[in-house]
Amino acid sequence: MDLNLNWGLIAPVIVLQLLLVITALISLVRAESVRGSKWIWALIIIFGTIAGSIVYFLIGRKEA
Amino acid sequence: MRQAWLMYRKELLGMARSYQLLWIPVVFLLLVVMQPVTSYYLPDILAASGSVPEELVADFPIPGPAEVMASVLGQYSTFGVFVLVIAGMKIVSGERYGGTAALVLVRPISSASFILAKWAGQMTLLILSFTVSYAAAWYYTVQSCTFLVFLESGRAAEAGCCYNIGGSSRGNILSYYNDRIVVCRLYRYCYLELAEASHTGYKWRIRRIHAFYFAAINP
Repeated sequence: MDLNLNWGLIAPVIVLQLLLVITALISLVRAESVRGSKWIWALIIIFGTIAGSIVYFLIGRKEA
Repeated sequence: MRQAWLMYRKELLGMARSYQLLWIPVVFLLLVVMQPVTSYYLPDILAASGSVPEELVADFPIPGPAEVMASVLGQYSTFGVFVLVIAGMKIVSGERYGGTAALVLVRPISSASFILAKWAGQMTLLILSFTVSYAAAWYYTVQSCTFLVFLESGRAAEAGCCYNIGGSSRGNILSYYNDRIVVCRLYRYCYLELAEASHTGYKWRIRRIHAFYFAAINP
């Protein structure tokens, strides 16, 4: 397998993914309380990347 | 109307503060941008998964730009709708349950403008996410296609076929293959194929022609 990837195509995806994970982590740190414990959500966001962040935003956050 | 407008601005502020205005467009972007990228690398992915026979990888049908865009639209109707519905399903019931709706509605604000503002907020989110991500999908689909331009001269096929080899190894191949007729026939074939591939503008065609050429000259 050649690692001669087309970085023009790949790099924006990586940047977007990092943006999503960092947003989720900032939101997690600044939240007063979340469903479940915060450190488990941190693990889910970091290791689940895209899916983990989406799941956190959808069901982890407490609205209002 | 002024009430609804104020409530709508409050709705947007709430969405910004809950990061919805950021994460939903980003998720949409990732979702649709992965589609052209996946189809671009699909033969590589298939080859890397190992258990797939080689002929299948080589003969894999290449999706055209229109097909990629169509599958992007398919992503919206499944995952996109799912994300928007799950994220927006509690905008009214959540406020009622949390007690903030009561605080707002005891003032002279009609429930119509309350609901209208919520609906307009969701529509803004949807239009923003859709526009940004569909534009990105279009850009990515265009980027996955390439247009070889050096086809006008008679040596175009040579240029195209040696595109990946580099100068030095090209000489080796030509000296190794003394049979000029075979090489000329290969050039002729590759020239026609490359001309068609660059006309339809899809990078995969061109990569496969290279692969064919290398397989032919390296038995």
